Amino acid sequence: MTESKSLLKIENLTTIFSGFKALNDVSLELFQGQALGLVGPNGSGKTTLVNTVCGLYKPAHGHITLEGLNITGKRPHDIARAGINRTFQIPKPFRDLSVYENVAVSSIHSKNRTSIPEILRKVNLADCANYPIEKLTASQQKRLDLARALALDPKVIFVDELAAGLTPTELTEVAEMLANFRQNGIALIVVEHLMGFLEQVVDSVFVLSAGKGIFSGSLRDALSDEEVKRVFLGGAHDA
Amino acid sequence: MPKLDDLDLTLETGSKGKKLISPAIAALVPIVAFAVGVHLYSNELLLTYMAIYIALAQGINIIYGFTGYLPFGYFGFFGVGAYASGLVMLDYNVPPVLAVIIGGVAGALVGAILLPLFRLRGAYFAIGTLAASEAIYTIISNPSLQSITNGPYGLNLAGFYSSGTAYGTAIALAALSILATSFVRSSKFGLTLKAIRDDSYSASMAGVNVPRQRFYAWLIAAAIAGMAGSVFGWSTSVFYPQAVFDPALSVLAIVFALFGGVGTIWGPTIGTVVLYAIYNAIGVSNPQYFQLIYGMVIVLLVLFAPRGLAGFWNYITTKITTVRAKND
Ligand SMILES: Nc1ncnc2c1ncn2[C@@H]1O[C@H](COP(=O)(O)OP(=O)(O)OP(=O)(O)O)[C@@H](O)[C@H]1O
Ligand SMILES: [Mg+2]
Repeated sequence: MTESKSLLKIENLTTIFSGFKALNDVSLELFQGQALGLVGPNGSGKTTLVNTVCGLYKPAHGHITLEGLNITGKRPHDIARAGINRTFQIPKPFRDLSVYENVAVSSIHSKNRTSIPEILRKVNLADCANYPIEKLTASQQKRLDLARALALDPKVIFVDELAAGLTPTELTEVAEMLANFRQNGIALIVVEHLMGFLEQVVDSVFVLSAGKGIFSGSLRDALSDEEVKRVFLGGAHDA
Repeated sequence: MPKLDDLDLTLETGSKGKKLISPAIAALVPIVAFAVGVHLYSNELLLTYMAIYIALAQGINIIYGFTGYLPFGYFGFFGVGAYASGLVMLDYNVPPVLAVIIGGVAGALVGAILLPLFRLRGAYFAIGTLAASEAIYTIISNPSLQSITNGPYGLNLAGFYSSGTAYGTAIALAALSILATSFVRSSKFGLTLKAIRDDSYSASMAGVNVPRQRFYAWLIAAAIAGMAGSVFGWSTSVFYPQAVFDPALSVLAIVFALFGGVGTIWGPTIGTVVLYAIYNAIGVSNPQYFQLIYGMVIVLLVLFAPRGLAGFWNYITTKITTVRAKND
């Protein structure tokens, strides 16, 4: 896959929670068709990065552009409509709606509407269309997050810890699913602790430590990088 | 909102035909009941108020049942509607039915002005609306505005009195509010509101302009209360500001809606009919016990039927179906 055109550009991003810099001057760039792993110990700021780019938190400093379009500090629905979407570390389905209706909400507010059954098929939830949320397993709920994201025809999806708690079979299933998205031109930022899973899914990684970017490059190089090793061995590991 | 003819939401909710019939029944049954009821029970004013309360309870249903925002100050729109319609009738001789619509528009306008209240959440929102409505009351009833609003002396609409038409308008308003709820419940708009109520950030990442969608629900609820206040003023013919800016209006509408079950079409209607009837029966025969009995009824309900009659009904019907399934 050729990754040339710049898609998402994050420059000097800083997010502060009452004086605490959860993100400290982070810069990274994502190219079209790329799958980037976002790794780092617990509390290093991975989810905060996703939340900041996706408009939940306003950054204290920094600049975010999508295909040159400034989206810094924009409202979440504007960011979603611009083509950035996400899943949640703890899935956040609409609990009073069925699986189908969950995806319908995104579909209603999308510019280019895709068929809902088609989307459910892409995330292997076609058989659960009429299920209430309580009937879904954790893995299915995470895929429902993905389905809702897909319905908005995104250019980038942030995937926050999709693999945690999945069985090996489910892991393979999800890895194939993500590979499929990439083939359809969706770039991915994959937040993950499971290195084995990352290896299957991403072509490069960005390492965060205490809110700072400390490494950017291939997964192999990351694993042999002295600073990365120190951060991972020193900090809490694989929650 | 984009056009969505191809989006099929009927998967869960049944056939398209059923989607049109059930709202029609929900609106028609009260119309017929009120039309017949007035011949069996001669207290037309009481029935008018009951219809007005159905509208208010449905308004609460739309804003609270579908967005989770509970406005204690809901009565403010009622009072604004009563005054706006009363004043256009008195000052410009506007026909009452048209004045009722103007009262609804006035309610919605005030709703738009109060939009910043949505920055508040939970109890703060509830109390914020209460404060706003008290403020409006203070302004309208102020003696220095007597030349415009007649200040503390209220309005006298006796010249427009026409009991039959006012009663008919109250019934039409109740039916309209029921149809509004049905629309909200079965439309894409309603689906969006439910999504927001479940998780507003998730909804925004689903592309939903959350404040705007909430605003629409708020406007509908405010317009309904504005029209309800208008019909109230017209049918009562003489009212003081404290009668139309009465927090008890909000309390009753909220209790009626909760008792019947919010988020449903029938709940608030049935809740109003039952509780308003009890309210009047106890209030007339044993006024000294009224508060006690009414209070006890509410406590029992909250304890044993927290999702209202509608929730209780669902519970019973599922029980029956499971028992039947076992016996088959
Ligand atoms: N809303 C918030 N308010 C205050 N502090 C926060 C908030 N969100 C995150 N933090 C703090 O910011 C730091 C980074 O948290 P974040 O959730 O981004 O870490 P993470 O890398 O996603 O960790 P994990 O691997 O455990 O998911 C943590 O110290 C956390 O306590
Ligand atoms: Mg996290």
